[in-house]
Amino acid sequence: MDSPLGSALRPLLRIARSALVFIAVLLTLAAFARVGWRTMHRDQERPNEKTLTVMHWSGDGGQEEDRIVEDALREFELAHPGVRVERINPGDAGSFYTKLQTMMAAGAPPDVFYVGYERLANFASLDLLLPLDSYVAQEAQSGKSDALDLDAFYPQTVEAFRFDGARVGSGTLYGIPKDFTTVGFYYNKDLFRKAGIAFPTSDWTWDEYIKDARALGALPGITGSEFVTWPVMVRTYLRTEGAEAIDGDLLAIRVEEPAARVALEQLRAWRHDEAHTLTSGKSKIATGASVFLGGKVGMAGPFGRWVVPSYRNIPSSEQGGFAWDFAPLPRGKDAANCVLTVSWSIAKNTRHAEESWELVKWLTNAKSQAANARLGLAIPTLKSVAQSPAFLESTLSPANNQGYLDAIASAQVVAWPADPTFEQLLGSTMDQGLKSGDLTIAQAILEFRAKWDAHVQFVPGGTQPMPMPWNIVSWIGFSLLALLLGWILYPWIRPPHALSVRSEERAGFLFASPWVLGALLFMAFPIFYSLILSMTDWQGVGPLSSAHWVGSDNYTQLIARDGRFHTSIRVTLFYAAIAVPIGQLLSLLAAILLAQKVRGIALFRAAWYLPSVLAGVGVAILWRWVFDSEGGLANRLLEMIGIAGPEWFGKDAAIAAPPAFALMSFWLIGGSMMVYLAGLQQIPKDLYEAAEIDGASAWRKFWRITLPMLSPVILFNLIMAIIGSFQVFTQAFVMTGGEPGDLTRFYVLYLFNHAFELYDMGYASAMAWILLLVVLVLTAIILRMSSRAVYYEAMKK
Amino acid sequence: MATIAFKQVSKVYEGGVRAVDAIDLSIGEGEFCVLVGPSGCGKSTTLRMLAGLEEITSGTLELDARRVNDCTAKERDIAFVFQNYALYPHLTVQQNIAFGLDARRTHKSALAALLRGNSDAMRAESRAIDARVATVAQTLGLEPLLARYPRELSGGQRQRVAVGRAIARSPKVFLFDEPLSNLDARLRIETRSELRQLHRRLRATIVYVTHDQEEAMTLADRLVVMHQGRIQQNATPAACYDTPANRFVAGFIGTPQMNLIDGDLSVQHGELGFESHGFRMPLAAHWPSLSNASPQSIALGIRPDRLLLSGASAHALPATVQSIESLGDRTDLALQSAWGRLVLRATPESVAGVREGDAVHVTLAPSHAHLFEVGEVGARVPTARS
Repeated sequence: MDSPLGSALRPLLRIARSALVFIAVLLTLAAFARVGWRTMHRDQERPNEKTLTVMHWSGDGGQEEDRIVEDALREFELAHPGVRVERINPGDAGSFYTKLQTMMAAGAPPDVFYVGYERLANFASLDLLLPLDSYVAQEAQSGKSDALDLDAFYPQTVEAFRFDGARVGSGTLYGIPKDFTTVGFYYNKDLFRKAGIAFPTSDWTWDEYIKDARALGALPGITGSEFVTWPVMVRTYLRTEGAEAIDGDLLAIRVEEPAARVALEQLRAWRHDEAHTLTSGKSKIATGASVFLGGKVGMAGPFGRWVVPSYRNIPSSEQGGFAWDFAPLPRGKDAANCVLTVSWSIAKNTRHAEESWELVKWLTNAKSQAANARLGLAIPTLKSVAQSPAFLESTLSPANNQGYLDAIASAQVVAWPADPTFEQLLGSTMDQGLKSGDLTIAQAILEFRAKWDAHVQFVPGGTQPMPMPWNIVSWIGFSLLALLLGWILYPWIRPPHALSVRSEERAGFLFASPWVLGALLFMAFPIFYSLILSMTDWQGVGPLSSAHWVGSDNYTQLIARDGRFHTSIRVTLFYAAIAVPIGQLLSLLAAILLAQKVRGIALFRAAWYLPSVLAGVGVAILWRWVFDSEGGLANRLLEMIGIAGPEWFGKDAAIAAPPAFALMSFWLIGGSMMVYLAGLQQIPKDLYEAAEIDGASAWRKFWRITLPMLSPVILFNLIMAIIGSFQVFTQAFVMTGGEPGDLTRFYVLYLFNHAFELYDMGYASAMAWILLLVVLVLTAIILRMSSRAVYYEAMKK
Repeated sequence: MATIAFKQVSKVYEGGVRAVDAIDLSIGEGEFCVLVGPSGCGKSTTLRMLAGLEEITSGTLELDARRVNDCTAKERDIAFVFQNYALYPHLTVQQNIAFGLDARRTHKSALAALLRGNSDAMRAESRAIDARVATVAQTLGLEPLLARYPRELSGGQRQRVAVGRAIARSPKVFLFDEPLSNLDARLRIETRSELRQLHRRLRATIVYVTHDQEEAMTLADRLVVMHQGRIQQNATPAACYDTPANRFVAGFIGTPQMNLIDGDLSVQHGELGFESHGFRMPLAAHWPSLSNASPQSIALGIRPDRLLLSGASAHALPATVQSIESLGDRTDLALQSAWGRLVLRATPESVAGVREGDAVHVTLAPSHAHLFEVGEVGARVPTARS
């Protein structure tokens, strides 16, 4: 720049630089302006046009359900000029609820959306849904031709969306049911013929059911029946035997009563004391509806109508498939069935209640229901449509559509407590007793009782919790922010340095600012926020104003009383104790092998690293096959060397599951191996040459040069591995979901359960902070202990 | 103390690069032999083959008249000082020096001692090592540094530790691979003489590799100039300087470089002369082999201190002074002439009046000129004296 040309260019360069800065600022402002304008535009919609947001899922219905909703909405728009409808479909029900929860927490739920009967109590108790009784009443008075008449619906489906503040079944109406199902067993007609037994009738009994299952199980290679032990099915099953899981007020557990016990013992005995009668609980590969598809299982259930779209893909007998039909749930002492239903509901804080109501009416009217009925996914809630040819006279299987309707007579809405913990605990403990079999029924009941009691007795913040003083919290937050800003800005306010130094500083801060802003906004703020949330009872759905201050209650409950939490720590530590040391050893060995200069070594390195770039979920599903206790690869290998393999995720999960997860983790050593490899290649080659000339053996070279020179890398990898081992989630979530019981419920999985399934964001936040502290303390201990074993000299020049 | 003999030793790397090409070299007991040459000439490869760090592709390497091609580095009993010293960064100076002694404690003897419960023997061995380290440290003045780590040492100190590590084991042969190249100029000269003294004291056989011909000249008993994997000259430093075997050695040895001019040799009027770019200079009868030669291409070499400023004459080459570098005790003139760029070294007094841009005349004493056959390694044409 000192050349004459350089000095001539300098002003030009300065102008160019200013121009670039100007353009950058302009672009940024434009981006903000665009987003802001769009938001404002959305808020101030034109007075003669109103926009509704509709959200639904299309899990079992697939593309077709998506299209049916879309068509109905477009027709609605045509019929209602001035109303625009935007549709959101996040995919399956799980994604739907996660999205809904997020939108509700943000105070911006969609106007109209699906609500499953099992969530109604929860949402209604949080005051998130618009009561619909007044609209229904208006309808009756209006006398219009399209007026909605609740009497035209199956009464149980309507009851499912009434909530009286304590339980579902009566009280305020929060949704109009769009469709429903009763449950029963799907059966393979071909296998029934082969076994020489009659097809089930609509009023068959459990005795007949189990006789059929045994007869089917006697066929070679055939299992009698799949019997899912989902909480709702367990409860319905109990009702057929005159027993209950919980009393009518949803307060007292009743599974300990003799009738319930006997019924549960009977179901357990069918599965665990007989071979080939029921599918075993050992297998984790194919569960639920899909086992039926293979044609090796005589019956599958209790399922509702939702399996029909996928079962309709079963080819006919002539084309290698089989014929199948449906029979409602068998009778025990009583006839009983359940009504599982989904409504269209309206958000409490919608700005277009009238239009939303019109839309709900539209989506539940006879025409929409008929379109849905043709999909086969569910039963229309309007009696007239259900009993019309649109539903009954489908040319496709199942033939026994009437069977679903016959079951309605004895069907009830399954009322769940507003607290989803009940359902989850019932599910996981009964799974242990009935399915995986690692607990007896008596043990499972005890376990359920203990966990439920521990949960019920926990009333965070006492019976009169203090509403969250958000204004005080905000003041504290803003003061801290101001302090922080002051600390950052201090260099500018400080007595001035030399001008050049200041401009350099300014440049430094400017360059760092995008990251700093991002870190503050997206990391520091949420972290600080979660600390506050951990001292509230905020549920994650519903506005923050609904939160209460509970002080350290979440923490004390976790540490002192939450047995499930302790189990999760035990499981995680057990896993870490195996996965971390062995994993590190293996990756170091692999790195040493791959550091060799051999032809094609790059290929080997890529191969070792490959598993680390594969998608976690898909891989986890494959691993589930490997560890399947019936015919899984792992047990077959063990069998070959004469060892009877454990039921990894079944009966033996307490001992075998964490090691299984550890074994899986060894598949992913590629990442730390790469770090070791890089570390190995950092070691100067002449050190080895010097040692060689000094006469050191290979072992001595490794021990005296490689290890010490690598020690900082080993420490780094060790700490990362420990942190990683505390964050096991995907594998457990996909492969076991924490089951059986809580035996694979890793720390983060339990955290996730609380945050996104049990709606306990405050509790989950506390858990996150405990995890942070645990990892911090562990890391500090390791760092301190390592000071003697780690040679940082190796890192310095 | 040992003798070393390379017999037709070659090194061919994977991919066919011939780094060392059938060299023959024998080094006597207690000799300080310096391998010198530009980078890539094969000198380091030669050294590494000698150390056992590099496999020998073909030929025989003998240590004390014993073939050692297939011996490990350990079995050859040599010491190696690396360019970057290769000190173990995680060990103290004490541990660095003791490393080789420790490593050589045979496992068998250690195990036997352990089994016999003979901790005394082991302790005695440890004491012996400590004593040896202390002696070495004293020799090299490293005592105050024994507890330090390499990164806490200066370059010169590290270099001395590296030497200490080498001598601790009293090996047969010391190998040095450019050990001074990471030191600053002053330290390099200091260490050079220390090494010289060390050699005198130890009377060990030393093979030393460097690309710095000045270092090579000052250290060597015997200088081995290498180029393109071949030995160009193997002689004393003085011989290499005075009678370079070929054009390459002539250009490589000596600072400033010898002036080398391509031209033609011819006889005119019965007088042998060298002509380049139209300027002819008669040559005296130093080259009996050439007196009847037919005209041929040849290169003339003349060291800068053998070029003389003179008055204008038919045999004086006119030139222009391009730059003057005054070094105090001598002055180097860069000249531009019909023969191209020439460097002339003179005493300051003799060029006191000369300024940059001046026109001058240059003569050379034919008795100090060298003639080389054409080509990069064109052989020296022998004079009457040699």
